Amino acid sequence: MQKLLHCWLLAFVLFASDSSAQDFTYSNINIVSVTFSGGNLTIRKDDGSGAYTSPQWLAAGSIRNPVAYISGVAPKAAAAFTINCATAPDSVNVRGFGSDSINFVSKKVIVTPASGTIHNFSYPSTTGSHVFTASIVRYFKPYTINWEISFDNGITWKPIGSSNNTMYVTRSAPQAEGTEYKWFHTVYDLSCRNAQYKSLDTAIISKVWSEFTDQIVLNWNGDSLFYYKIMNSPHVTLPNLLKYRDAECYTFAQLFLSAIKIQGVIRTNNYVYITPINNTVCGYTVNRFIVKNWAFGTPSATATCPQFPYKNTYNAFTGSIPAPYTAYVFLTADVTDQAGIPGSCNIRPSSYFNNHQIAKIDGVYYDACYGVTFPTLSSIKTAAFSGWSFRYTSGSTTNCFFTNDMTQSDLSETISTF
Amino acid sequence: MRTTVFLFIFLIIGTLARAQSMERKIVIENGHFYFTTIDEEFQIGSLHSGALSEPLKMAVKKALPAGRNFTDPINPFSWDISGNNFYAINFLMHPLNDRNESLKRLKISSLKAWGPAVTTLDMIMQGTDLTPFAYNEPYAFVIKRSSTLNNFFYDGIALNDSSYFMAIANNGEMSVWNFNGKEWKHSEVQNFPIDGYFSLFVHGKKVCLATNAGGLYEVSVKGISSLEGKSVGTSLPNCLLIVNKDDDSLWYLKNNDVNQHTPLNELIEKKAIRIF
Repeated sequence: MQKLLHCWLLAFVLFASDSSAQDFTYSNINIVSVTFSGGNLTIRKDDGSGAYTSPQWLAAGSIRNPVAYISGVAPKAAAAFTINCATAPDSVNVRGFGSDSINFVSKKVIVTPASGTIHNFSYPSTTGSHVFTASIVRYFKPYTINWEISFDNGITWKPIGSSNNTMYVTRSAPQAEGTEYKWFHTVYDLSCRNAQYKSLDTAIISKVWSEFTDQIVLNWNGDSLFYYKIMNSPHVTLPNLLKYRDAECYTFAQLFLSAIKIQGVIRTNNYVYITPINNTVCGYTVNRFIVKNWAFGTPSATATCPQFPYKNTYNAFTGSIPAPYTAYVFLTADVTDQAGIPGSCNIRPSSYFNNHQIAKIDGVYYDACYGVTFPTLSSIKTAAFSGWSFRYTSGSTTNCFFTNDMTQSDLSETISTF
Repeated sequence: MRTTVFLFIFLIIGTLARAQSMERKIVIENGHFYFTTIDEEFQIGSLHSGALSEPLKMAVKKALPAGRNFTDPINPFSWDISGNNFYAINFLMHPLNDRNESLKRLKISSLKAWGPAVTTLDMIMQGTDLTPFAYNEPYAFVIKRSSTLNNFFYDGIALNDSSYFMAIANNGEMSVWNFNGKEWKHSEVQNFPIDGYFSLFVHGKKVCLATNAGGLYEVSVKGISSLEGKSVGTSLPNCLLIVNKDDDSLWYLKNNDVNQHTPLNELIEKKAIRIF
């Protein structure tokens, strides 16, 4: 009885002193965990190790997992607390004030007595006071809930700490996951961060695209996503881009499209594979192109192929980008790679290709790895290419022939839906 | 402690091995079985082979300079064995990999085990520069007909070293192609709506096609005709086909019945269901 009176006396003293200490929190009450539920969306970790789990906020280990909802839904939160006191009250009232003025109403909760001085109580899973505005993208970094306690049945309240989580609110239900399109953390982050407060498809697409236009694409943690950090990067899927933060063109198109799909924006026939039309020149199929800039020196193969008079050779076994994979290495070279069009987080990415993959939305070609758009397929070659090429391997040597005459071939496109 | 560490490593290796599922089928030829797996992260393939009396887990694993992508809808790795050769359609996504040059033929004896000198990157790059045994005219034909890929699926098999069959579908149409070592011949384009991958196999010197749903058809450059009254008995994603070229039999094994520890001949006897 004496201990109980001591607790109440302590509470009374702390309450009384609050008028001159607005930020005061009870040091003897701790938030243990906060769990969001009620329709929150799966968020996959970028490293491929699975989805984030609940509780999304955990004091132990400083766990601060992201949370996502669809707009028009109210968040639902539960929390667990401890109170360090020799003898705890039978019950207390707890409430929370969340970002976006979403409140979690007062609930009277039982304090579970323990044999020691630390006792537990839990705020039950409670739906927030209102929904996230329907059809609007939101991004909270952080989404804060300020928790309060009352020892006198809700008459007076005192803060007992805050929980912070990153919160994503998608405009609509995300499109269902596929083999490569997954609800990754960075997909939510990039999309909601850029499309905050947007509602219309066109506005969301435009804002998501703005992430790519400065050639600095960042993941949820602010880390750079590199286009060809290693010049022959083997990473060609969205999961690999996010896991290794270094990948080829395919992945940036996939990231751009995923960031649109996560908002529930539907665009079919959105993924374009471009490659030369495979016309035949000098007995060989033109199936390579070089992206600006390449310097054309003195042609050495005019007699062999007048239309493609520039010739490079490379070791067929090691390829044109041998270890340590930092530059093109040719045995002989009429044509040499120069600094040119920068890609994401890389001022000099690979630039000798058979194919390239980009997004196409509402008739516009979006090249996400370079952050540029094209109005037509035919405009790509003049804006971005230095030339065409074909190659063949003979013994241990691969022979590449080049031209900077852009009329010697053209691009074809194959369209599918990502 | 050491035992614990070894057990942990074993479990990790085991998990990794399981992560790569077999692609389409097991081929039996000259008393040996062959199957392929694809690295889910890097798309590159491996060929596994062993004696018919051995468990699948005892198979020797060799690196392939070919693979396939994981783009939806999934088209499993298209591959076959004929005599001393391995055939594949190298459809992994890579900016240097030309789909028109994707038909590859390799001597099985030339394949090497994975190791420090045979890396994923090596195999991807080798595959892109590997001379095709034939221009992939079926693919060129399809994308010329329509640049939009929708329910795009394909498979190819080798009857022998001078006859390679391929069926290719897009936008609800299918055509059947045969390369005779010099040139391609093909069927008329037929309406043939499908919503999943299909597989080709040979039975009784006829090329047959099993649809995703388990339907069976005979295919040739003359066209596609239903094998009335015959079906696989299950859908393709639920099973592995077992193509026994030694006795011209065809079986399927439910995915749940694939046991890596049982000798394959015993597994077939106990669990496989005969189609032909």
